[in-house]
Amino acid sequence: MRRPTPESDLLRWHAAALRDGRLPRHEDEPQPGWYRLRRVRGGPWVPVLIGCRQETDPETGELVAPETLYAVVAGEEVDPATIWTHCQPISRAAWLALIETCRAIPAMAAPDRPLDLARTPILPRSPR
Amino acid sequence: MTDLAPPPPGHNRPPPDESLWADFAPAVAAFADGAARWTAAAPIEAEEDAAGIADFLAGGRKLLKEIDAARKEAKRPHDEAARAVQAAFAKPLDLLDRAVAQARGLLESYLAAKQARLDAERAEAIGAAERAVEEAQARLAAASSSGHVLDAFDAQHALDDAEAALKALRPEPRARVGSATGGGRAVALRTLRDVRITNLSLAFTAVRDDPAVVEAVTDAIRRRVRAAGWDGRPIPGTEITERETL
Repeated sequence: MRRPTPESDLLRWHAAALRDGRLPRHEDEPQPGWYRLRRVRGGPWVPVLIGCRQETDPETGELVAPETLYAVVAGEEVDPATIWTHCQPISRAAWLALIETCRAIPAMAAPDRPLDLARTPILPRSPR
Repeated sequence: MTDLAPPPPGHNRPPPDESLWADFAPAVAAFADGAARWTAAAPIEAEEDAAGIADFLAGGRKLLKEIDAARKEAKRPHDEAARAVQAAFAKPLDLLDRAVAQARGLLESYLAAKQARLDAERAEAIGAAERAVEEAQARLAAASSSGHVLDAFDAQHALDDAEAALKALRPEPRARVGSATGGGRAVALRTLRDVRITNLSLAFTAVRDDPAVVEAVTDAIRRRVRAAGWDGRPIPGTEITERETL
C-alpha cells in the first residue's frame, strides 16, 4: 500500500533550486515544479509545468498505479525527460505571469522561431 | 539657348537617399511609434511593464546596431574610393612637399642672413644718426649762446633733420624677397612662437581658466574614476557624482 507523495516532497527540489540557482540536477531525474524554457536559441520563453500524476483509490486514498511525471509545455503534454535539462525553475507566480505574457505579446506566439526584438518592438500592454 | 530661370533650391545639395535604408523603414516606424506609446504609458510602475520596456530597449539597440552596420557597408565603397584617391595623390603631394621644404629651407637661410645684415646696418645707421643729433644739438647750443641768428637758424634745421632721420630708422625693417618674375608674391620671414614647459604647475596656473584646459582636466579625471582599478579615494578639487544608468 502506498500513499501518494506529498506535494511538499514533490516540490522540495524545485523550492531548493529557487533558493540556490546553482543547485545541481540529475539529467535523468526531472523534478515537479514550474519552469520556463526556450525551444530554440534566441526564442521566447515558454511556460513549463512538470507535474506528478497520482491515481488514487477514492476510498482509501492510496495509489492504484505508479506515480508518473508529465510535462506541459505551452499547453502541450510532453515527456519530461525530453525537456528537463532545458528547464529553468521559476516561481508559480512567475509561471502564471509568463502564461499571461505569452497571451498578451503576439511575438511570443511562435516559440519555435528566434524572437527578433528589433523587428517586433515590445509595446505596453495596458492602455492608459 | 540660355535658360534664364534660376536653378531650383537644393539643386546642388540633393536630399539624403532614403532608399539606402528602405528595408529598415517599417521597423524604424514601429519603434518610433512604440516609443510614443511607452511614453504615453509612463510612469513605469509594474514589473511586467518594466520587463516589457527592457525588451523594447533591447530591440531598439539591436536595430540601431543593424542599421549602423548597414550604414558602414553602404559607405564602404565610398571610403575605399576615397582611400584610392588619397593613395593616388600621395606621391605627387609628397614629392611637392619635399621640394617645397627644401626650397623653403634655402630661402629661410638667405632671409635670415639678409635680416642679420639689415639689423647690423640699422644699428650702425642709428648710431650715426644719434651722433648726428648730438652734434646738431651741440651746434645749436653754441649758435644760441653766440647770438648768431643765422647760425642758430641753420643749426635748428640741422637738428630737426637729424632727429627726423633718427626717427625714420626706428621701425625695424623685415628682410623680404620679391618675385623674380612678378608671377609670385614677395616673401618674408615671420616669427612663429613655440612653447616648452619648464614648470608644469606654474604653466597650468597661467592657463587654468582656458575652457580647453578645463575640458582636458575633466576628461583625464573622468577616465581615472571610471577605470576598473580606481581605489575610490577622492581627487582634490573635484566632486565625484554617481548616477544609475542602463
